[in-house]
Amino acid sequence: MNPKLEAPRDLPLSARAHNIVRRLEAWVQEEIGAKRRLIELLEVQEAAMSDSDAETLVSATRSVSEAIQGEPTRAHTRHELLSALAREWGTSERALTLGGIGLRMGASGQRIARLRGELTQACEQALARGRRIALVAQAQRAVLNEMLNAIVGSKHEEQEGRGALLDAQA
Amino acid sequence: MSRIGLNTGLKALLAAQYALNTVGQNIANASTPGYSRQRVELAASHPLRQRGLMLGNGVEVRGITRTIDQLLERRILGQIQVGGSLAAQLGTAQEIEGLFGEPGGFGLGGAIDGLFAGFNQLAGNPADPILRTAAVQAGVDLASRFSQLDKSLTNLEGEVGRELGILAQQVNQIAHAVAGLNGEISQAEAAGLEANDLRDQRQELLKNLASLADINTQEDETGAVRVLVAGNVLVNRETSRTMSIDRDPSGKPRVAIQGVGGFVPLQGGRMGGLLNLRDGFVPGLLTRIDGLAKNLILAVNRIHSQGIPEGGPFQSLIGTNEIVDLDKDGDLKDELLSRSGLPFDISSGDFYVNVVESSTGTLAKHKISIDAAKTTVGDLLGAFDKIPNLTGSLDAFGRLQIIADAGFGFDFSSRVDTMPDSKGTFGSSKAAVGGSLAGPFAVQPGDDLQLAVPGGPGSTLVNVAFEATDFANPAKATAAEVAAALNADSGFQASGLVAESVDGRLFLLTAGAGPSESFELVGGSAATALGLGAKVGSTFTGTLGAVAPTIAGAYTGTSTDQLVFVPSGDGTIGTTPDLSVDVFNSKGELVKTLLVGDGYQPGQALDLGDGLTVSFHLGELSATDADRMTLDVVGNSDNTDTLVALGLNGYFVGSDAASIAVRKDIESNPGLLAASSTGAEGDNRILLALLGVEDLRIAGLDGATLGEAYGGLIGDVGFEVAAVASGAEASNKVLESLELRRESISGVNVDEELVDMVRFEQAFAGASQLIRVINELHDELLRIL
Repeated sequence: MNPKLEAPRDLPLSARAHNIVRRLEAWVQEEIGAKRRLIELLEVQEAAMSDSDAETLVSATRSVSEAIQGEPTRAHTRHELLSALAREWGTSERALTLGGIGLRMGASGQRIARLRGELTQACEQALARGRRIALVAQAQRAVLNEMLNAIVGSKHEEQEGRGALLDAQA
Repeated sequence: MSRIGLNTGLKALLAAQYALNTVGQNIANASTPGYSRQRVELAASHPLRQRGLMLGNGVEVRGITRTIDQLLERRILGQIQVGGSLAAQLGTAQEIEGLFGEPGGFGLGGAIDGLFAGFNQLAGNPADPILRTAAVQAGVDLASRFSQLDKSLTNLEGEVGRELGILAQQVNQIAHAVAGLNGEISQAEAAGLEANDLRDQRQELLKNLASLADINTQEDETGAVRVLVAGNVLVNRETSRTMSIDRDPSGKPRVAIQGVGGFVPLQGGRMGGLLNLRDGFVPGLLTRIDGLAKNLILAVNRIHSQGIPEGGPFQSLIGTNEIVDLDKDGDLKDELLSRSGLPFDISSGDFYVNVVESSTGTLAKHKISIDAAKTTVGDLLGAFDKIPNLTGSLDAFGRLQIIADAGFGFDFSSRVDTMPDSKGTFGSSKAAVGGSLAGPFAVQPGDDLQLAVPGGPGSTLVNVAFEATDFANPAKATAAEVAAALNADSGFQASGLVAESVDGRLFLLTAGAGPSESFELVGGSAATALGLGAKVGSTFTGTLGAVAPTIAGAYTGTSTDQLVFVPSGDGTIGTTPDLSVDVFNSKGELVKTLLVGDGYQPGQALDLGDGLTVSFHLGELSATDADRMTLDVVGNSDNTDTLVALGLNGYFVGSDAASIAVRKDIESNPGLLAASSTGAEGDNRILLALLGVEDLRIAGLDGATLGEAYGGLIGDVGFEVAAVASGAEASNKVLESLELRRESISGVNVDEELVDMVRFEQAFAGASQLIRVINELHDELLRIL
């Protein structure tokens, strides 16, 4: 845990700070829902990779792409809320984490702490799924490039980055 | 790189290698028959848990699968069986069609036409030896075509047997290979390996097997297929049974499988097709060709047997068909004639034998009656023995042999007696008298007849007394019995008198002719009963000239009858006004009245009807003395087919397509071709009748003519070929369609593989890019958690 975020438990909180935290809780809930939908779509995409049908894979990828369209809006909301809370508490926005906010809120921070756990879990699941997909995609691309090079006779350079090969969780 | 990282990378490389090999395999086998496209199933490996960490374990190959449709494969196997059967049938049916040599005029049809053309040409000049030889040669050619056709079709049966043997060996090789592959597949799959290529090899073998025989396949849990041929196990797991070709009791090759009782009734595949042809189409054809040959022989020989060869009546003749000792008792004579192993049926009726005295041309027509249910071979020989101057016997082979006495000949024609008054009872120059009554007569034993002939100082009395033994039934004595009794009497013989029976009446006449011949009917107790009562006390004297009626022409009527000629009064031919001769049939109906009195020029031919004429010479007729003569006319001198069945005077020998031939002695001596029905020079009536066979509707051919029956046969062969060809074409199209469907499912298209690869590559690239974005987003998000 970041020690900068620790605060005395008896520190009085302003009504404004309470208000911001409540809005932050609503954002976390929305983010959890988005992540869960993303996970479902990634599952579909992974399954599509095992099929021999490129159309299915393209369609699944398109769905994933559409699902992450809302990310920038939610990131902007998150940024505004964290900036406002940082100003209220007289600290830097980059010093704030949901874990730290929950601690500072004391007893009234239990909800956001719980939501933070759920969001963390959803993110990890999405990341793990994404890494697996990247792994398969990388292997498949390697095979395909080898074959295309062998058959077509020209170097088929890889254009995109590779997925991670290591899936680690703390 | 850590050990985990290395392992993950290795797995990815292995997966890539598998996939690369698989696609390479697909592309390399793009044109391999029966190859099924394979695909690699990639999936992420299960993560490893190590020191509280869930470590990703890379990607791995879950399996390489064959892309096939089992139902479709089964349908393809079934269709291959149908196609194989039809292909075999088509090849053989086309071969059979070629054997007939139609169209083109070199087949059996042309040979049949050639035979009748030969008869037709000869009919124009029956004495021409060149045309006669040509007519015989046409028969030889026709018989040869029949024999060739029969031999070719019979050989075809043998060839089918040999081909079956070769195909059975192929079946055994394939079955052995399938059993071997079964073992390899089961072993590989039990070890968790995919035996895709082995399965493809096996499927290809099964296709080859299906093209040979009708098979059914069942795959068991080990991956082995059980192959059934017509329901009998041929391959079970790693064991195959041997198929062989054995002969059935009739000698026909049949398919057998080791360990299976009886024969295997194949229907499908090439073997099934060959068996279908051999057991159905070919025997059917042989039966019809045999029927055609048999009916040709029957129709031609029916006519020819009643003909007379160039040299006139026969002195001896041997039948060509042998009587068989069916009851195996060593005696042929007790065989029922109609069931004595002869190749043609004999029915009840009559046939006639003409015996001709060579020096005089006198013809005696003898009827032999046949009762199909009773007449034995012995009865027939007995009937021949009863014919004067003729002997019938069986030779060492059971063939009927007829021999005429020296100075006599015989034939079986329907010709009429050209000199019907050989007995001298119709205006001959002999002294004669006939009875006014026709028998039977009621003669009592002891009754007598008294005659007086010139001799000695006055005359010699001849008294003939009848005895009971002279008659079968004295109360119903026939004229023939009375005449025989008189002729047997020594006193009667010594008197120079002769008794004759004509039209059931008794005639008494002198043996010599001329005005010096005479006799007196003195009386006797039998005179009245014999219809001579009114003539008692009369003297009968011979004359200078004889009427000597002469018949010309050939009888064209269809009925058999006895015509009776009776003068209407007494008078001289060509002189006496209103003198006529009435002609009656056997029913007593007046058929013709011939005006022979004043105005008739003796020797002039008068029409009798049905192709016959009669002429009378200068002489005297006497109704008072009961002048009378008969003339036998025969429509068909053998309505029993006895002559054909015995092979007497036939043109052809044999009884079917295999045995038909022109009679050997005719072939070597064409003069024996019996062109004439009368024996007269230039007579071609038998040839004309033979020409009629061409248009004859034959019961044995279902009422068709020979040409129609043959045309039907050729049509059916053509139809069979067309039907099989059509079936084979349809079957091929279905198979092509199924193979196309299979190709779309299991086949490899290199272009498509490449296009697919590019599309996949792009799809994976897109997915990778997106995942990178997602990762970045989550990195940011995780930072604030």
